[in-house]
Amino acid sequence: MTISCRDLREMAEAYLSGEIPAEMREQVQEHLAGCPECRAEVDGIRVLRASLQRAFLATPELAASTDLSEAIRRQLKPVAPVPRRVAAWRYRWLATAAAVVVVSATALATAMGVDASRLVALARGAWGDHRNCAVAFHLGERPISLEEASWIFDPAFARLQTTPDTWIPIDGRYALVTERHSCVFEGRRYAHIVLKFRGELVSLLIAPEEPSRMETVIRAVTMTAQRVRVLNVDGAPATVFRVSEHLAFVVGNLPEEDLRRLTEALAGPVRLALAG
Amino acid sequence: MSERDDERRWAAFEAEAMPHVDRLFRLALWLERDRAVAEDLVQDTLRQALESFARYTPGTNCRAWLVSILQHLRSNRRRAAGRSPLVEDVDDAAALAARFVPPTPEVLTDEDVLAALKRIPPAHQEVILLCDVEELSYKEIAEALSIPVGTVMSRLHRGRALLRNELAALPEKLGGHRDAASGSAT
Repeated sequence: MTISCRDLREMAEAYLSGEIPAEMREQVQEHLAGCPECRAEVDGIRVLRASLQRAFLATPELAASTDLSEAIRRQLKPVAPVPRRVAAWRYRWLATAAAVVVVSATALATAMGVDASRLVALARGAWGDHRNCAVAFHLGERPISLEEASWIFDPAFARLQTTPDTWIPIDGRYALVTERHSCVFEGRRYAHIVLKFRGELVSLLIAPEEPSRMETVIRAVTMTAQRVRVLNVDGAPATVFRVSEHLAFVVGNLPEEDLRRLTEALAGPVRLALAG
Repeated sequence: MSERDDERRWAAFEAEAMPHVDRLFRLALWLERDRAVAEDLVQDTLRQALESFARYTPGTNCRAWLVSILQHLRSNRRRAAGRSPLVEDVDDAAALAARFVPPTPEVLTDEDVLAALKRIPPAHQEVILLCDVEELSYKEIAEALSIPVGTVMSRLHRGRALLRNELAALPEKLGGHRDAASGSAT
């Protein structure tokens, strides 16, 4: 059975939507092969459909604000009380706390040369982002969600949407995650998690870093440090730990002991999430 | 439900449903024309979806399922506000309006397509968006809008014809004076 041009135009939509039976599909294709007018008609609809989808999904006027997904998460995500396994991570982390590097910036730079200088420069960058983004909101580039950043820049950021937990137990107190996003400071893209601990804003900033570059510094410090030590960055405290192919900084105006304990609580879950 | 079940359900929901928030918002904003209303609608959609997540079959079209919830919520809101659903007698009116179907213009800008879409009846816009943008099947569209599959097909066919009429009627397609009309647009 052959189909007429009129029939074909009636079923062109269904054909392009994959909504006609296989045998009829063959007849349509047969007709199109021999009929340039109908082919042009079907191609025209195909172009229109593709144009519409492209236009609709690309137009910035229709884009959701970057906060919408986060707002929905905050609203819907169950807030878990302290699960036992979190405490377990903490103990496991304490056992390997030597992997966390914290030393005097100047002493480290002198002792370790170029790699250490880079580490110090990165820690300064983390502090800069904390000051500009978390504290003052002087943003050079609008933050985007971790989810979006994971599609475009770094797939590992997707795992930081839920890690660390919103409530982090630390010695009978809690640190609360108040914000998660991805932002840029001086050209470096971070996953930025803002926490509140003991009334202070603290930032956990995670950025990709090739493992080889920091290896020597981290290994050297690990051999002498038994616990997290605090790096002094131009008078401001910071801690840093390596996680998978990333460096993580914890910065904020906390007393050293509090910053150390917070880092210990964060490092285990973050390392686990990013290693997965 | 235990806390662990809650966490598991959330983890699955996060992976399956949350990635669709932006597209749902685009659809909601287009249909509602109001950012605050659209945000509220998307939030309600996700809340409802999480509550009914046990009814979602993993591996099936999650976006279609979410769109269906969104459309039902819209429909309920319209009813609660005393407004009639978007059914009207658009099909007959559209059929009359679309007797002559001009060919699709060879060059289509995003602005052209969206401007033309805005000018056709809302019930046709809906079906075209669900088909072309959200890539729902006819059956999924019919379920989302609570209309028969045959109506989906006729609205698509006629909506497309109207869309092509509008595209052909856009000023720039006739005289190419977009620059004069849009001023400083670059």
